[in-house]
Amino acid sequence: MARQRNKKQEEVKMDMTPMIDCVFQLIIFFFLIIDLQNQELEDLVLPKSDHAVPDEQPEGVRPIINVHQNGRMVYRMKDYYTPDRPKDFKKLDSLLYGFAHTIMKRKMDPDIHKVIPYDPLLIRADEFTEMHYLAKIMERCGDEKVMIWKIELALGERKDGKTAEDFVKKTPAHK
Amino acid sequence: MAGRKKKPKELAVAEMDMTPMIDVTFLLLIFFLCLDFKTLESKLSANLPKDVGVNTTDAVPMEKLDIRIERVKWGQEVPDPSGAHRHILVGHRVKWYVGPQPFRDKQSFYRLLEKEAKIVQYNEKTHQKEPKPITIKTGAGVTYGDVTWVIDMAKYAGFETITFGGGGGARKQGKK
Repeated sequence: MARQRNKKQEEVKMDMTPMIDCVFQLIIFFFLIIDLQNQELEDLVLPKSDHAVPDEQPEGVRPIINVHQNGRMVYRMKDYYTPDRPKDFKKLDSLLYGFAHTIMKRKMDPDIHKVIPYDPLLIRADEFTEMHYLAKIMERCGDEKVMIWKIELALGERKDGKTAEDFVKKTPAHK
Repeated sequence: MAGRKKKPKELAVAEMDMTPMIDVTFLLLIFFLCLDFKTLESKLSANLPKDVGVNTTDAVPMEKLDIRIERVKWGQEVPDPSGAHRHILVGHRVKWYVGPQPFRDKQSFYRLLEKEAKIVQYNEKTHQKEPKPITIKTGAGVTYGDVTWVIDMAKYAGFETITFGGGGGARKQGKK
């Protein structure tokens, strides 16, 4: 005869501590990532483009300089040039010098036989920012002590549905 | 008092209900995972002249296509209707010079770019036949959008190398 026992239901308790630890670590990681991204990119309305290459994460180091519509130049939420002091480029010069000599990869250029930076500088500017502000950055990039020669211009994605192909199709000479 | 026996205290196990905390934590985690971390931006690459100052190296002569952008009319500054702290330029117009030849409409300018891009020349550095490099120069009152449009069109026409030349300085305030 089978004897029936009063089976006690055993409570299986799972130790949640490691899981909570992991989840918190992930949340902290995401918080930090968001913070770093916000530091790099200012809220700007970029011009639209169709043939620009999608901006993927570059291999090397790529500093980003943001230029506001009034000419204010910002790097990591800090102003390096303000239009109220139009001839004061000291901060910008030292910033670019720092990029060129500390964070950018440098190589011997076979054309000019000089060691120069080979990482690009990304410039983000408002669509209606006057070009002479950007020209100031480029001018200073070309300084003999800096010599940053790879420039990338940031652009936004076209949202109005019109593409350059539409524009080109209208041109009679296009085949 | 002294004769009273102390009862052995039972250790009460205080158990905290972790379920709501784990729920909230997971919601946070899902929120962050759903955020798109990619910046939906694109880029156009351009070069600056490397040979500044006096160079002892031999420069290979190469024909270039000079494009100059000049402002025709500085547009009316209107506050951005989207509410952003900026203004938009209504009626802003520029013209383009390819060499000495001026262009006022986009189509004829693009047609010329397309025609010029088909003319290839031998590049001694890369040992390949390539379209001429483009040099962009800008006048006063030309905007970043005007320049990126030209680069965009030049890339579409088939040009590969784009460099920047000198700029025309700042626009005189108030000058239309």
